[in-house]
Amino acid sequence: MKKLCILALVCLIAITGAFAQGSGEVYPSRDITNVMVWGAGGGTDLANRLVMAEMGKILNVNINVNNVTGGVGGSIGLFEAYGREADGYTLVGVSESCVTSSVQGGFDKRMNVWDFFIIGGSPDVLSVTPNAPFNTIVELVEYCKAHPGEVRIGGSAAGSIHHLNVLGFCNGAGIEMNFIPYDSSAGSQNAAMTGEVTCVITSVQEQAELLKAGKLRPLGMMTPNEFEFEGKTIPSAFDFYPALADYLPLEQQIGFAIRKDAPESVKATLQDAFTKAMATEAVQNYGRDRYFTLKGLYGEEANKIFDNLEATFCWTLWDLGAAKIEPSKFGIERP
Amino acid sequence: MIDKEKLRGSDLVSGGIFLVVGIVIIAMALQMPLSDSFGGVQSQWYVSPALLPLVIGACLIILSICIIVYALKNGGVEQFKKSLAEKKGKSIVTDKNLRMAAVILPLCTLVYVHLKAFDFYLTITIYLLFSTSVFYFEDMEFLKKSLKLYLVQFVVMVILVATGLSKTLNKLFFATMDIVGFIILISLTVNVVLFAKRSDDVIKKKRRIVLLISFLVPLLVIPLFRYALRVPMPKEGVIINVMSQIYYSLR
Amino acid sequence: MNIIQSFTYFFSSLGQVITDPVSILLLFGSVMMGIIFGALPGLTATLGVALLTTLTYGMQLSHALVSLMGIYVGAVYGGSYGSIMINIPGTASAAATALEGYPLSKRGLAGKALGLTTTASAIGTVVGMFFVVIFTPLITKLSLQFTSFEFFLLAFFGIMISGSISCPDTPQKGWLCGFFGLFLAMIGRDQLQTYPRFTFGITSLESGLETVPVLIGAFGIPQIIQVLSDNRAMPKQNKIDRVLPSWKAIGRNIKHIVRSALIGVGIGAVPGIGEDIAAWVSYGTAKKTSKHPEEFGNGSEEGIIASETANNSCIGGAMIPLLSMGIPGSPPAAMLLGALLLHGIAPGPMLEVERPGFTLTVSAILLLASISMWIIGILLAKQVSKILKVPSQLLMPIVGVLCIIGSYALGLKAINLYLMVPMGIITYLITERGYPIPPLVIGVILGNMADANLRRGLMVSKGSLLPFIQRPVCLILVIIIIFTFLSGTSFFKNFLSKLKGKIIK
Repeated sequence: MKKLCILALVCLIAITGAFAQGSGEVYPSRDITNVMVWGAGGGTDLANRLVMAEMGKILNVNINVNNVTGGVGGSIGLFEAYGREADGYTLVGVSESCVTSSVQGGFDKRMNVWDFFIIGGSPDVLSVTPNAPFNTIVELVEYCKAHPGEVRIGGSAAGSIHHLNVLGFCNGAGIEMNFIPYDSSAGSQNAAMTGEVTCVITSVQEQAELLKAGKLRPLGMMTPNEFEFEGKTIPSAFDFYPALADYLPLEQQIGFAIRKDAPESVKATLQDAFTKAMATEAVQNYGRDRYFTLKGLYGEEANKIFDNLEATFCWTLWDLGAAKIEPSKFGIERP
Repeated sequence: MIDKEKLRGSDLVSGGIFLVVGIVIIAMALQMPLSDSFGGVQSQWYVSPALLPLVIGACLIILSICIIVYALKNGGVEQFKKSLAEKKGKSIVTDKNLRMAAVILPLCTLVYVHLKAFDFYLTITIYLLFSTSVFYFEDMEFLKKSLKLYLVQFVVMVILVATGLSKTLNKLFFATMDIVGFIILISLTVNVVLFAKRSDDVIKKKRRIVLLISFLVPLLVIPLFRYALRVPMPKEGVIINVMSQIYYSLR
Repeated sequence: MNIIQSFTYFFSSLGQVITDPVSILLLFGSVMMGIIFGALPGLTATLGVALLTTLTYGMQLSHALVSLMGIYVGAVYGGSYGSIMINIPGTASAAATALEGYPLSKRGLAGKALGLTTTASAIGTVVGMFFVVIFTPLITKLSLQFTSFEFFLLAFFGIMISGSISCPDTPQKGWLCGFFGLFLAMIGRDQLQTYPRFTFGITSLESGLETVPVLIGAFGIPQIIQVLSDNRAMPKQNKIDRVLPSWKAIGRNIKHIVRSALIGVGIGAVPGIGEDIAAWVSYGTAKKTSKHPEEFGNGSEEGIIASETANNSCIGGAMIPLLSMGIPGSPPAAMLLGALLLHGIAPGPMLEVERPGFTLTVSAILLLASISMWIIGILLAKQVSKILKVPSQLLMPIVGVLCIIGSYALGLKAINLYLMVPMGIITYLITERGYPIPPLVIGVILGNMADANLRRGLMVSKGSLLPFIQRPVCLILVIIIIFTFLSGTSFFKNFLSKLKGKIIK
């Protein structure tokens, strides 16, 4: 009998406690969760962990990064984050590749249900192994024109940003290459080390150490501007092949998002903390050391970038036959 | 494991099942794109996603035939007939099968029914209370009785969850399902307490241990995962929210 | 740096850690935490390192490094606890340990088994560390011999060997389970073309089966069902006089320790594969070369030593490509790479130029981590084996709860739990019929690697199968695989004995 009484008491406290919650509290009063759609240790994960740690200090709470991976384009994590309340206590860590989730049959909504915060990204560069007989991007293209489909180029899995860059480059320069997909950028760079592929397209951040050591030789940037790397200038491929502008640039965008229907006051608090966190020394140092272009965008500006990315990515995939659902079904217009 | 002599008989069945699996794999693999391009990668036979599944299917078929042939050579047929004859006329409700049901049923209920319906504390307390008491008391009568009680709540819960009624109830009052969970937990507790009351001192001592373990272990494990390892629980209802309130006010 | 400079640097970094009480505290704390992570089913070394990455973010570099290496070493070792005590390996790398460790514990020798694995793990870690110091450049070169073809063969070999050695019945059943595991790994979108295979239109299946729910489903649930439904008591333990293995026992097995450590380092150094294959290959080799192969499966000392030494020496091996090339050798090492990047250190070929002596600091910490792991392990062994005194009817439901939270914690996905239960029931049914479980689990773990690398290799060679016999490493692997296959068939055994007869005549 005594036990039953205690049980009933616990029950009572529980219910009153649950009622007490959510009445006029100041945001944030609890830990915030960042649902990270990609795996631990990757570029998106790291940048998010860093910025979350700094934002946590500013907001005076813990922001926990939980990796919820899987699905297509991180759909399982997107579902998980969207399924929780829009109270500002759940964020979702995303990157540019998430925008393809909808057309690949993953997430059932467009990206416009989120408000994005863009930390930044690293531009893609085309590099070759040191013993490759190409000194400039022109030599590579000429060789490929003479021997179509012979040069092997590595990149991360089909449909990823690096793959789309490879496609854009091949189309823009009018050449044919043998694309070998790897499960990660690191995998493709490793394959370049073993000599399995001759060229790789991955981001400067990912290649940095190999470039410094001369284990990879940069030929050209996949962005319209040249890039200063350790005192050397990497030319832009656009200078030689202006037609690239029709397909590229497709830039990496790493950041996080919050449900659009979250309260505006919460968003304002987060935006303020985000701006402060981006200005901290730790984040700035990370950006400089890792060749990461820090952007610190949010609100309309960031959403527009993701809108454009969504359109480009989804239609490219559709044209390749790799998308399950036609983008127009989601109301995504052809760019 | 089953005795080695009887194994050859059961090999016929298991080998046969794997043979079917192998055939199904090949049939499904043949429907995959074999040589046309998919996902922007130029495709040939050797890039096809069906390549390895075809090999796997073929190997499964070969190996299961090997197993069947070996069983046939070593008197599998007689053993198979023998074990069939043994089973004939016997009721399925043996003690062993009941015990098996008492392990598997709560596990399935936990994962498929309770997990998303109740606060996670209730979910695992119910599981622990049932499993520990049923086996630790070592009394078949109690096992049968508890299993019946558990089956009743199982049926009710399946109806609630499958018809979506649980969600509607939760909309009416946010903690309705948690209260249902409470009722189940209390009924199981009463069942244990009443049984112990009628039994000897050994069982009475066991009752105390069972109750302590089922109510305290989750109270240790959940905060450990939730606050030390920062893992959100599958469903955070009334009780875990109270824990969080306490945790945040202490911090 | 010349050798003398290196030595002084090594010992000075050793001294730095030892003289700093905070470091020592962190070291023991994180090793302990690692052991708990390893021992609990579902929590892995990768998750442990990931968690500490966030927690150590604000610390200074040397402290962070000590904690991260500590938890890594502890978690790889901790997996053996579950294997030995309740036949549920805490991590995939400890699955081979269960084959020998649990029979030992059934004979009442759990304490002895824990003492042996602790010492073997510590020696393994230290050997791995020496390789980091001495052979980094050489091993880096060797690991660059591994292209897609070799990866495929290595994965295939891992599945085959676990199939042929762990089988209680005919070896065909082992291979069949291996292939069935491979099939389960095929579920989901394939890595090269993202084509959904065997998903039956279920979106949650598109990312494939994750290792942890399969591991727990296949090892944990059948064990729970068996123990509870058979009303099996926990094995009675002999009174433990000493946990510390005698010098004699170590001396007797020194051959196995050295060989297993070498296997561990070698496999750890190959990027992308880790502790689990190392343990199996080493266990298999020990069985093949042992003078008492009949003891294997009934609690062989050599068996647990082989698998535990190898999985711990793998850590050192995995550090080699990480530090020299910036390529992680195993999944936890990948997370470690991330943690280092956050602290502004970029492992890679330029590391020794930018931060001379960093490799030596890491090896010094590795040495200290293995020592503290050994101390904790020896102290724990006696206490931990007391858990077996808890009646199984109380212990198993608790283990069940831990299994469920553990496999949920890793991905925070209910689908993992939904898959875990049927997986457990299927494996329970097939183990009852003489099919071994390890090859099935190894098949799931390595399946995608085998698939993607086979097709990628063929893409590179444009469909030619010649590289399988043209590349030296490939050729060796092909020969070993064929030999493993043939040695399981009776035809080959007859042939061998005939051959022997002829030679003797």
